[in-house]
Amino acid sequence: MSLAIPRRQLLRATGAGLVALPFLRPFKHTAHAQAATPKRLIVFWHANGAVQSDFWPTGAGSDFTLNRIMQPLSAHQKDLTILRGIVFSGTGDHKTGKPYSVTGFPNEDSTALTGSGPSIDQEVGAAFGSPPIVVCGEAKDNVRGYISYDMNKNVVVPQKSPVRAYESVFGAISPMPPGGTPAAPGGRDAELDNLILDTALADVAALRTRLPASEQVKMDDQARALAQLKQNLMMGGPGTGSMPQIACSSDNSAAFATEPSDYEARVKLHADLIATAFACDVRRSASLMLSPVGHDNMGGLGKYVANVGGDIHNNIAHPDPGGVRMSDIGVFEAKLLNYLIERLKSIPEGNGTVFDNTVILWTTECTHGNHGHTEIPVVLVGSGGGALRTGQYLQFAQNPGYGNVLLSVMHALGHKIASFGDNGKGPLTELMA
Amino acid sequence: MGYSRHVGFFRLGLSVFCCLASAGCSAEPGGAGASGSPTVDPSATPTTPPTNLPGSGGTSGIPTDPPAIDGNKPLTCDPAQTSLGPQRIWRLTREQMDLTLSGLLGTSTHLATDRLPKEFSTNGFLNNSAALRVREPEVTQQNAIAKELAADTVSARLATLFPCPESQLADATCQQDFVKSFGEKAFRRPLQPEELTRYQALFALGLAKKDAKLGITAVVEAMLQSPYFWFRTEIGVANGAKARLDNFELASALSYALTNTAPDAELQSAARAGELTTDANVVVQVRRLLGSALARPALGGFLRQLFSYPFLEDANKNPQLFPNFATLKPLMQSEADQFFPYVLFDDGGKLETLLTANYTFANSELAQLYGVSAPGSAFTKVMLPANQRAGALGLSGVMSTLAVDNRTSPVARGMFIRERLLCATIPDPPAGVDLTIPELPPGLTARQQLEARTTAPACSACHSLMNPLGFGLEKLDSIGRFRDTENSLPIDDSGEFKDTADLNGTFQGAVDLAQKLSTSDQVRQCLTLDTFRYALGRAESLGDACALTKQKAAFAAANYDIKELWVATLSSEPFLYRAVGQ
Repeated sequence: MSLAIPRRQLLRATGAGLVALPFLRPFKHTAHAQAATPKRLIVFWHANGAVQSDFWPTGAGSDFTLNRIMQPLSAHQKDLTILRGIVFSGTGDHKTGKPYSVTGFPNEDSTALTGSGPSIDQEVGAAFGSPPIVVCGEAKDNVRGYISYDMNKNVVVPQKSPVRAYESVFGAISPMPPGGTPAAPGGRDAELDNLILDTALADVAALRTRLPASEQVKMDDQARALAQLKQNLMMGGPGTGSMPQIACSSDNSAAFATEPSDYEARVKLHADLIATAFACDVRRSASLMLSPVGHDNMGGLGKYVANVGGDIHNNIAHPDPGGVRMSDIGVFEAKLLNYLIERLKSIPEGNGTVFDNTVILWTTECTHGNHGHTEIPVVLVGSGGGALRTGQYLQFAQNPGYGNVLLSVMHALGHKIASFGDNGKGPLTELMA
Repeated sequence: MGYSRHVGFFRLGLSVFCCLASAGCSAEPGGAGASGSPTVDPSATPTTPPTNLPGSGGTSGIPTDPPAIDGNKPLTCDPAQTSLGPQRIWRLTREQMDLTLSGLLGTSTHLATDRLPKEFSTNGFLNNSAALRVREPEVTQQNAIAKELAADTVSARLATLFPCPESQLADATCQQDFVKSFGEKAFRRPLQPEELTRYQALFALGLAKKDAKLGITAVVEAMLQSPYFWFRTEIGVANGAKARLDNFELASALSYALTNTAPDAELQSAARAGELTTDANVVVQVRRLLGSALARPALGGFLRQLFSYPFLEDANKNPQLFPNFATLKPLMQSEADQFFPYVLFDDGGKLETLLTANYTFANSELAQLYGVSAPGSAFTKVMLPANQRAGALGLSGVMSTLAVDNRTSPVARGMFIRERLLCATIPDPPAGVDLTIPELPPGLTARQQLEARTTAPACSACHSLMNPLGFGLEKLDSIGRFRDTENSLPIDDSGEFKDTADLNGTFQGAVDLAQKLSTSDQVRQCLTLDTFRYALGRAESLGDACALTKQKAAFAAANYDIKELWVATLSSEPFLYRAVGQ
């Protein structure tokens, strides 16, 4: 079953065919988000590294031939930046590589569930004033296997259900006709909606004063979440002023009404959600994890890859890290990435597509399924509005510093911080256009 | 290898990289930890509950709640050490939310279970007060649930909400009575004057915008999103440094503990009359509620969680090896729904029965797994073949959960026994060791493989405390079927207790294991701790030791009837009182 959203149903460019009750929601502008065209980040993450002999291309520079695992991405070869020679700090196993792949620090307190820094999706989300979409294809929970760390370095548990994730991102948004008066969804009254949440918030404040400090955090949680909900409800409401660059129609919600029945459909619907949220400019950062580190059976991957089933990490990745089954899994994962790229490329924006203003960081935690921390498979997809030089296969003789790679991505997106991770000091000239 | 075993689960909460970061203790053959909800490490040092930024996009920073008492040591009471838990608020679980919404709105709903995020497992239980939070995902979903249920109730069952006939919707007195009466039901206590004012103002806005129905809708939506609906307060009435839960708090505390929902009319009127100020009246209500139909699934639910049933949902098996597991899984859940309440309420409720019952509940399909027959699709009590298995540790659902997708997991089973039934810990091995996996010839039994992989001293330090317990269950396969051989080799199901208070020594097979556990004082003490952790939604502290000693004595005096352990726990000082202002 195809869960792709028909393009014409998904959105229409501003001014073109904006007729019937589109959902409009201007992005919450911040200092970093003033650019005319929004830039976005997606962390696309898979576990267990890659079969080295099938992953790296042949050739060099802009003249290279994709290998087996990246064949599904051949239509997008000019958009790829393939980075060979990256070394991860840490002991070269899953547990240090996981935080390193996104925070640039190899440490995670697996008891307190904290890393040593925020992950790049959260860092970018915070810079752009909106939390990232954090989703995972594997439905089973595994809190020690996740890759998003919030600004307080706490592990963020991803949403596994695209239906629930859609509700979180879009559920509370009020429709506003262009230039018109806002109305709450379903003909609801915005003033009444506001007072409903204010009444609950008043209860939160009253109860908080009666609690010891150790329990006040629970009320702080709820207050923050209610305030965020209120903000979502009121975005596009009175006083927000500016018109969004992009309109997106409300009728894509039908695609998110039903929980996907299998793994592949779930990952694809997550990709649809990210594409839709970017197109509507309600979010500018996301991490899409195919499976957590550890018991990554990927919801019955055996359906898609021959002779694969059960616990991939223990049954296949470790005993047979260079085998054809791991290679087949890699091909399958590249196909899922291809789907995400295609989705972004299908959505017009300005003179191009949403993809043109996006960077995808495709990364993992180990060299291959039986550990290792050199030659980590890292690929960037997209130029972030022309800021990155794409279509290259770069082979570094010396470790370029993964922190520098992450910084390059952030600089390309306009978030020009000075350092990131344990060795990020500045963008790599090889990467920047 | 070995990563997932600790990243996962079977530590039904423990330090994760323990044996695994250690040398050649290559996890388990065939991998581990496939199933399970997230778990939180009870052996960890306490951490300050983290704060997170607005809308971080998920659930972050799950607090841990490490137990203080080592099951290998007998409980000792030092009155000078006694302390009470702090004043707190305790969020309803999804199950409690659904039952509460159903009772409040005159319908039967599963919206909370379907839409709210799953609870995290802390010390094996899903109801830990520190872990139950209301954050962005919960708030977003509850907002949608509140809208849906309010609209449905106002349109279909207005009489559930409005105290006067519908013809009097415009009557101002009726409108005020609605806020008052619905508020008391939703918050499980009378509203304070300022709350009445607040909610009446909300009603008035709905009325002004459209009509009384919109006012009612708005009030219902707001109350369902209020912290007074989400949480129960345990703030109490201060008397010096000590505060006894007030009558309404206590009514809710008892009701949620024993029935998973809001107080019934009798309990609420006892609270209104101030009757719960005496311990004797508390015990009267506890005994009354224990006799109610709702107590069966509620206390059965405690044992379900204790025996890992929440993790069964996520257990998957290799379809080539276990083609009918997907069909069996819901039957295994039904089996637990029947077995645990039956043991508790129909067969004397003894701990010994729980661990050694020679029966289970099955329909014809599930009965085949046990090698017996049962008529039709309805569940009936069936007697089990002798000398194969006994009690809860022999249930197919427990054995399926404590296993991996293609084989048994003696480590998971041993760890479960050690942590959940003995309340003992497993020490962490030294870190930073070689992860090389020994190559083994094919065709060995699970036991032979595991023994070969965990002989290194760095491994056996941990594994000798777990593996030999799990080996006793090796004749029950990955979905709980009895077998004598594996890979055509005879199965050795001899086992050994090591480093325990009163069980040290060898045993032979599942039945012997269960019988030894069923009369162990360490197991009795551990169930006392488990009951405390579940009934109070927190791990015990050393300050609870005197109360726990009393609870254990009451348990013993009742010949280890688990219901009497509950009576003692729910009438204990730690349950009834809080320390003021900590």
